[in-house]
Amino acid sequence: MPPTVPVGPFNGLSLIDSTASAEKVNILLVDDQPGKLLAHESVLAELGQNIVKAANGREALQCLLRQDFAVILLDVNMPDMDGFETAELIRWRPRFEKTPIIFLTAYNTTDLDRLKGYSLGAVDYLFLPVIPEVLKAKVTVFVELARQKRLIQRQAENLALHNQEQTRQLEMIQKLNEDLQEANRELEAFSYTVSHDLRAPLRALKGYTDILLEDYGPKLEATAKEYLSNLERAVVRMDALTRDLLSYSRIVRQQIELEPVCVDAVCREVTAMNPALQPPNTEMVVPPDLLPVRAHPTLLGQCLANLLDNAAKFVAPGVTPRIHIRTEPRGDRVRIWVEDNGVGIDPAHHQKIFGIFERVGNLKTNQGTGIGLAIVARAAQRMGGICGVESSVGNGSRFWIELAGA
Amino acid sequence: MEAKRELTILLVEDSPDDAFFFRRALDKTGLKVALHVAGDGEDAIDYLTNRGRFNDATRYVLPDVVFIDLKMPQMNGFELFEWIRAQFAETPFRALALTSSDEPQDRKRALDLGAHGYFLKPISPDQIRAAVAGIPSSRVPTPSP
Repeated sequence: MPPTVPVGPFNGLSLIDSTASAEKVNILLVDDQPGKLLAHESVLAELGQNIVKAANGREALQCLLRQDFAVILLDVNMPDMDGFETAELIRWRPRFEKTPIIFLTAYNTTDLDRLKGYSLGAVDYLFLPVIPEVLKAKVTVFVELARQKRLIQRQAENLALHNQEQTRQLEMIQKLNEDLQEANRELEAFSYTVSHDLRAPLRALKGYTDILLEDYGPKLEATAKEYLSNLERAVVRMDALTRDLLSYSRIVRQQIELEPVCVDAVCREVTAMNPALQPPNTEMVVPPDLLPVRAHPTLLGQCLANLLDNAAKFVAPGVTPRIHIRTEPRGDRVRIWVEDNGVGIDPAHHQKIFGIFERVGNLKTNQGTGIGLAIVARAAQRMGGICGVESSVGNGSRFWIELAGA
Repeated sequence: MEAKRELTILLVEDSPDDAFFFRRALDKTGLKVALHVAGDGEDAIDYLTNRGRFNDATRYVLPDVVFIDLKMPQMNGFELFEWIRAQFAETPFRALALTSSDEPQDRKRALDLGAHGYFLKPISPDQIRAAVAGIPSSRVPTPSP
């Protein structure tokens, strides 16, 4: 039986079309008879590869020092050093351990036995005289193999480069992330300090204005008193602004843990703290059977305090605010609705109002800091939820916060 | 009848404005109170140990109530609460925080350090009344006959 190295004509499928497979590869012919060398060379010339010739084993080894070969065609019967000896010397070098060798031999059992015993690397054989088609077919297999090996090597190199680039980019992203986090921390600390330190002089301003009005108000002219009232209003507004900024920055900074929360209990607490939400100022409907949610009680309280305060604040003159709280199951989540009979909001502004410092409505009559809904949006987000509004001018507003159900 | 004795309050406060507002709110309570003001934690310790400018022990008596601002230069309110807790086995007065910070962690920290109460600025006359209410009878001032 001949050795079981895959032979036969290459099926002609060019697996990968690239420059690597288009480049020429080297074929080494080793034979002591110049006539045979010439004959084989002319057959293989059709493959369009570089053909290198060696007249004996030693020359062949010298050629191998200079370049790599896709395949070596080695005549077995050569004087001095025969094909098998040459092959053994080639195999000694690690670099050529796997270089395919095709032995050319006359039909001769002794040779075949030696060939069988020869176990190193990809080896094939051809009987002399060589049939040109068979020679071409076998060599083509190894040419294609060499090209593909080269291609894979290049791809591996490219991949390594690519990986390197990716690692570099990852490092850059990581660095940017760290910078961003640092900037965020600084910004939070900054807003905290500003809000805190601003409130001390504001407190003094408010305190002395109050005292002036209290102690000297009766003695002041009407205009002077009006100026003082204006001053006080501005101070109160600035105090509200810094207070809201502080709660906003606190929502951003705070560590929170979610727990089951009764929405109606939170509503009652919020209502109890704000006289504007109580009768006769406001009619409020809080059904006792509201669904519980997974929330942070303080954050949810802040959300509802802001939504309820807005609902009570933004009504047409002379209208008593009516606020209805509902909950609506939505899959495994719960939507809390705060519905009012207020002035409503143009749909064009619905996106904007949840941003910080956005305020919609009549600025003369309705005073807000413009931070309330930003607090709602941020708090909802921190609790893994979302919020939104359905409203149009003159038809009241229906604000909602959607959180996980409990 | 016990000798008439007025209530003593120590206010630990670095801001003259806030000290002024405190005094004004206190006046409105109508309570008979001796109010002393220390400018920061170290000054308060001087008062409580009758050292430095507070070395007159007959005048600067141990207070019934101490209001402590949290944010102060040098030694802040938290450090003063710590000192008080280390100093007395049982605090012989009410130590209360009076601050502009409504940060939950500040409140928790003050209470953890032994504050008996936590008030936000500006304090109202009613809040001061509530803060001094129920001081042990032997120390409560007896009304004039």
